[in-house]
Amino acid sequence: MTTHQTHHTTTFLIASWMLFGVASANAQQLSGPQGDTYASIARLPDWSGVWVVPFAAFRDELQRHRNPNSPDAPLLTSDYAAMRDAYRNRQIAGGDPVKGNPARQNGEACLPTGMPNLMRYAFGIEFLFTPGRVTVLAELDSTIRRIYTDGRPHAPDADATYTGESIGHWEGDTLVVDTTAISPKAELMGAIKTSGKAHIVERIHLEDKQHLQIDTVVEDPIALKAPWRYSRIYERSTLGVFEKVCDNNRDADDGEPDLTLPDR
Amino acid sequence: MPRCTCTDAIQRVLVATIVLSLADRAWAHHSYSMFDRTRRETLQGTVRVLEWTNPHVWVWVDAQDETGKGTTYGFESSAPGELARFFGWTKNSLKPGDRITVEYAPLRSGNPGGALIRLTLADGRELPMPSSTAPARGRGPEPGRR
Repeated sequence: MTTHQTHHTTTFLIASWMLFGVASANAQQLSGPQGDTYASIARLPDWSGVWVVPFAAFRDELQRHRNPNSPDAPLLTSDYAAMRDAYRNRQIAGGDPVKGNPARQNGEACLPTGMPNLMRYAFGIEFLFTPGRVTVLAELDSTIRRIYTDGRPHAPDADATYTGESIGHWEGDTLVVDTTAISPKAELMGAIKTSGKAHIVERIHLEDKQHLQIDTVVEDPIALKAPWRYSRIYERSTLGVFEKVCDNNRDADDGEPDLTLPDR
Repeated sequence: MPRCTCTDAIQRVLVATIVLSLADRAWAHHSYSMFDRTRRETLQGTVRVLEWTNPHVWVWVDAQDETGKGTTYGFESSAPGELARFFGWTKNSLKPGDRITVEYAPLRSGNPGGALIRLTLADGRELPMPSSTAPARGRGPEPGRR
């Protein structure tokens, strides 16, 4: 091999390596694991700050989701539609209309709401990126969601919890989160429980620098007749985080709130 | 007679539906079944204390009836985070002694208190909140900043 040939071969190898390297980098951005090392986290999209659904959008969504005639409402099976109706009747009548069906939201007993309802309010959420994991800090109930992006599968027999077990992966700049092992105490929405068989897929991406979109599909073969799909647009807030815990819960008992005067 | 009863029933259902619809916009995390949200009452008084607490903020108001008898009323509102982020409130939005007018859905029990619907300060400014007509604008308009 002449020097000239060697030079060409070296150039080809370098070019090939560069092309392969670029292709690999692209492949890594388009699918598969990202954020597995501290260096790689720098290539993830900037989701810093606090994300909030504007209040008007939140209450419009709440009305649509609560209205059984809305195409956006979950298609509940009869037992779970009964929870919704009992809760509404309680609001109208002022007491529990159905014995044995307390029709209460978890929050009224200072219990966490859990997934998916945790993500349906107008309270803030934050994202933390660390190697192999995305952590969601939710204002509501001061809840932490751990989303493992290190390639692990769901555990074969995970304990059921309010937040469930979340496994994520990146598809380009979209984080796809698959959540199972959700406790039947967790709520689809206030006063309507999940069944223990709920499965949630969230696709999270930036719309632009100030807007983050989460597309959610909730499946529950016992509570839902069909998958429940909804999308929410969050705005990046500059106001920081507010605590939202169950501290001075004066409404705990149905019928009459605690009217004990507070200290001045 | 039956027609009248039927009409009354329909009217009650319609009123309840409309009021609950409005109420659902305002209160999302608790049922508030102890409040009669088909009714509205108004009270003038002075702020005893703004209880800036989770899960909900309470406004305590001292008021006197026509005989001069004093009563303290408790009014429930939303979470501090919602009032602060969307409606501009702070823990100092109301101070003891502030004269205010409160519109509220009363407790079914008749006890002194209710769900806060609208709050107007002595100078006529309204503190915006989810149930009031004042619009939410980002962090909220200036009335919440005192």
